[in-house]
Amino acid sequence: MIQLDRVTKQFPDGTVAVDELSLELPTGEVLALLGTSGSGKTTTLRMINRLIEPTRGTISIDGRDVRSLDVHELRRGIGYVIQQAGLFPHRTVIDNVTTVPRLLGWDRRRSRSRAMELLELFGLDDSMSDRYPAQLSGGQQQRVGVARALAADPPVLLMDEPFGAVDPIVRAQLQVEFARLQRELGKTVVFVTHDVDEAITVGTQIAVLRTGGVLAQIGTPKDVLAHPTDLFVADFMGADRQVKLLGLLPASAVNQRRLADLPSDWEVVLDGAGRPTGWCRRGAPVTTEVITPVRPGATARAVLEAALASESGAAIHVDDHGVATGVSTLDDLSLASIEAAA
Amino acid sequence: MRGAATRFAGNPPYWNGPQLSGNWDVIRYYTAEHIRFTLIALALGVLFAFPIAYLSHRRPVLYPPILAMTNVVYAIPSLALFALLGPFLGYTNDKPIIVAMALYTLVILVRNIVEGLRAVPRNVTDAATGLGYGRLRQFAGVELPLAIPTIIAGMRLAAVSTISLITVGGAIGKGALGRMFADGIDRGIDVELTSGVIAVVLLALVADALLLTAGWLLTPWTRARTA
Ligand SMILES: Nc1ncnc2c1ncn2[C@@H]1O[C@H](COP(=O)(O)OP(=O)(O)OP(=O)(O)O)[C@@H](O)[C@H]1O
Ligand SMILES: [Mg+2]
Repeated sequence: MIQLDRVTKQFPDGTVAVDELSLELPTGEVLALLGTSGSGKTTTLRMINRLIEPTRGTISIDGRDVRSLDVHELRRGIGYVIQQAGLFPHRTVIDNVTTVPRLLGWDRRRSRSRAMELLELFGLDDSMSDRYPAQLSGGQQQRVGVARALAADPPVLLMDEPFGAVDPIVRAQLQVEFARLQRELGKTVVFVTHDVDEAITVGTQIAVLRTGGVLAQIGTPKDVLAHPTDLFVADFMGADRQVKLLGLLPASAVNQRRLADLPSDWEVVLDGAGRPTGWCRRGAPVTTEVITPVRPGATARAVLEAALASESGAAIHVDDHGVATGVSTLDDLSLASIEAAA
Repeated sequence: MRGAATRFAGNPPYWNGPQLSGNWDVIRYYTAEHIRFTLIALALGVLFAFPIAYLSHRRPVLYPPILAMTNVVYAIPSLALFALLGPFLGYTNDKPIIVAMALYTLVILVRNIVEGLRAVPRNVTDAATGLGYGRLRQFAGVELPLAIPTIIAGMRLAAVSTISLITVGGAIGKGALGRMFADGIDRGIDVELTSGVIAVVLLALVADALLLTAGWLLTPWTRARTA
């Protein structure tokens, strides 16, 4: 558990970067620290591993004040990932990854086998281990950066816009990969970002900071999207925050009607096995069209997209075999009705 | 006129006749002396430059005055500097010239080491500190290696300029190969003078090539970019 208790940082030039910030992050959770540029995200993160000392307030990890620990030992026990990875250009990939184990005095073999294990986990094959960072793509460098932070298996991970320097596609891949890994590893993570979608993808908690380092809101992504405390948070989460929220809810939370209960004159056309092949108006001749049904495990957002894409304005749910199980209309997607069900 | 006896104090070999043959031992002797002076001066220079550069890097306010000081030292004409060092180091031994040369190298070495350290990317040093490096270990293990290309560039310049500046000591009988210049001029032996000049140029070229190679061997990562 990471606790910040009324932490304030005022720089010598008078800038207050973080103001009376209090928050609690339970073990195993990922806190996405979200805010505009200059809102004190980096400063907050760097106070946790004491790259910056707070002016007032206390920070503790598992109940121990970070200032009571030897600063180097503290840092070796905390994984740290920064933008553009900050890899050591003069060291090969494997030597980068073994940095902290070597600082901790692990023997060479143990460090190396641990590093190889991590590289594999991050989908970097053996041939890359002897390359220098300059010989990797941006996405690969970021992966090495995360692997390096995890090398000594620290319980806490601090990440400062770790995927900020790669293109959107690679970035999305890295986010999903990280979220998956995190479910296995169960680290306690503070993840700085100014990208709302990234915060939603990786965070189990989101803290929104406003300029001056004041906490505007903290809560689960669903909470913050559904119930922003004020206009600032609502604006920050984006005009499409309801759509984002749908992305976090399961399709099963959306009301499903029986196929026969469509409130319009549209009908679902089924093949012999009960799989949907298109729509037609009641009584009109059948024409087959391409449809995208909602599969089990999809999000409520997939229901919205299916409904918007279909001629009839309704989405068709199917089971694992592709057999139609029901339909949802745009009315069924109203947040109030979904929340009541979820 | 100063005689050969005073200039060749001790028992260095003596250039005989107007020709090269039979005088190789003279060239060998002064070349060896030149190498010795250069190595000691460079070693001393590096030895002083590193702590001074480290301090300038850690305390940036000290950097401008330190640079100014090395510049002032560099501006002192060599003969004047030998004379200034005489009272402390003696007049008849090799120490004044070696120490003078070492002091001259500082202007290049300190600047290049500091600039090399400053050019280490901020996110690299941040990562090192954040991962738990101690100060000296970070300096030796991360910052210094990354500054090697700039430091080597400085050492090449320092080596070549030292090799050339030492010859000025010929005027006070302490110039290694420079003594062949002085003697060649004094006694009108063109071949001795030319041999000395060629030896100095060759030494400078060899020193430069050696340092270049050392730099190449020490920085494999700089060649990895396109591989
Ligand atoms: N060393 C410093 N001295 C003075 N002011 C600083 C210092 N470091 C940061 N600040 C100021 O503190 C505020 C918060 O900076 P911080 O880097 O924490 O913001 P951030 O939320 O990480 O922003 P970004 O998204 O741009 O990275 C800014 O106004 C910044 O200018
Ligand atoms: Mg920042």
